[in-house]
Amino acid sequence: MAITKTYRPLQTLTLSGSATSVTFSNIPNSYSDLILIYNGTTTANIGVSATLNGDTANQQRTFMYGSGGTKDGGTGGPREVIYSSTTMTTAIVEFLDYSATDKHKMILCRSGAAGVITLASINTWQSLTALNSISISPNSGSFSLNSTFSLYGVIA
Amino acid sequence: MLVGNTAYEPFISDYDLLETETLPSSQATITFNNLTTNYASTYRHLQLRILARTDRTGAHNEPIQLFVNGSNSGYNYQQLYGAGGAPGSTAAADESKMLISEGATSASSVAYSFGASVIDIYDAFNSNKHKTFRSLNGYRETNYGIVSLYSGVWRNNAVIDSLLLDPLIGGNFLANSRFSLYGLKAS
Repeated sequence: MAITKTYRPLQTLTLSGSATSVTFSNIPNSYSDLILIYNGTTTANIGVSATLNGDTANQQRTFMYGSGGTKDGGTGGPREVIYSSTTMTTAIVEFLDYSATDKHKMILCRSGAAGVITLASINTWQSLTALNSISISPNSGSFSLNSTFSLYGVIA
Repeated sequence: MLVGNTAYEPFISDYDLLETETLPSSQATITFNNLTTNYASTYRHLQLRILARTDRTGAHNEPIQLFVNGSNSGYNYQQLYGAGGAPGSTAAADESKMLISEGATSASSVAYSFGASVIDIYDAFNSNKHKTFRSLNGYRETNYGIVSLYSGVWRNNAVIDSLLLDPLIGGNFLANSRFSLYGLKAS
C-alpha cells in the first residue's frame, strides 16, 4: 500500500541575523492546510502581522489573550496573527483550505511567551485566490538571530 | 544497493489522513464509523480538521455538537472564548452531547466564509480511560467573529468506534464544508 505523507515539511528558515520580515513564497497548492510554526524572539514585545499574496487588506480577526492578571480581547490589528516577545516565543498558525478558490481563508492562531502573554485568534483573509505566499513581520522592530520559521503542508 | 548510492530508508508516517469528506451538497450530520476496526491497532490519538457552514439563519455562526458511539450521556465540557471583548467562559456537565466548536458559519454569514476547527482526541482506543477532547475553533467574517477553546470529556471507558458531528441549531452542514479525520501513532 502506498503511504502518503500527510504532514510534510515544506521549508524551514533559521535567521542568521535579525530580519524585519520573513517570507515563504511559491507555496505549492498540493496540500489542504498549511501549518506555520514559529520559535523565536523579537526586539520588542509586539504583534506580528501576515501579508498574504502581497495583499495588505481584506483581513479580519478576533482575538483573546491573558497577560499576567489581565485578560482581554478584541478585533483590532486585522493582519496580526501572533504576538512575539523578547523572551522565547512559540506560535502555531494554521491556514485551512489555503488553496481553495471557493472559500475565504480561515486562519487559527496560538502564540505565547512565558511570563508575557498567551493569545489565541481566528483570522480570515477574504479572498478566493489560492494562497501562495506568506510574509510575516513584527509591527515594529525585527525578528532576532536564531528565530526559526517552519512551514508544513497537510493533505486532506 | 549499488556502491555509492544512498541507502533506501522506507518512509514511515506517524500522522496520517484516515478519512475526509467534502460535502457536495447539504448534509444533516457527518459520521466517521468503524473506527475501532479500521484504526485502533495502528493509531492512538485522533484529530479532526473542519471547515463548516450551516443553514442556520438569524445568527452568524453556530456551535457543533459531537456524539461518541451514538451515546447521549456522560459529556462534560468547558469553553473559553473571545468575541471581541474580554474573554468569557461556559461549562456544562452530565450533558447529552458535547459542544466542541463554535466553528461553523451560517446561512446569514458572508458568502464563502466557513468556520474552522481543529479537534484533538486523546487515547481514543484506550478502554481504561475516559475520552478527552480539546479544540481550537471559531469563525470570522466581515463584522463578526468568535475564537474559542474547548476542553471536553466523555465519561466512558469504551473505545471510540464512531464520531458524529451535528449542527447544534441549524439542520444541515452546507456544501463545501470539509471534515477530515487524522490518526497519530504512538511508539
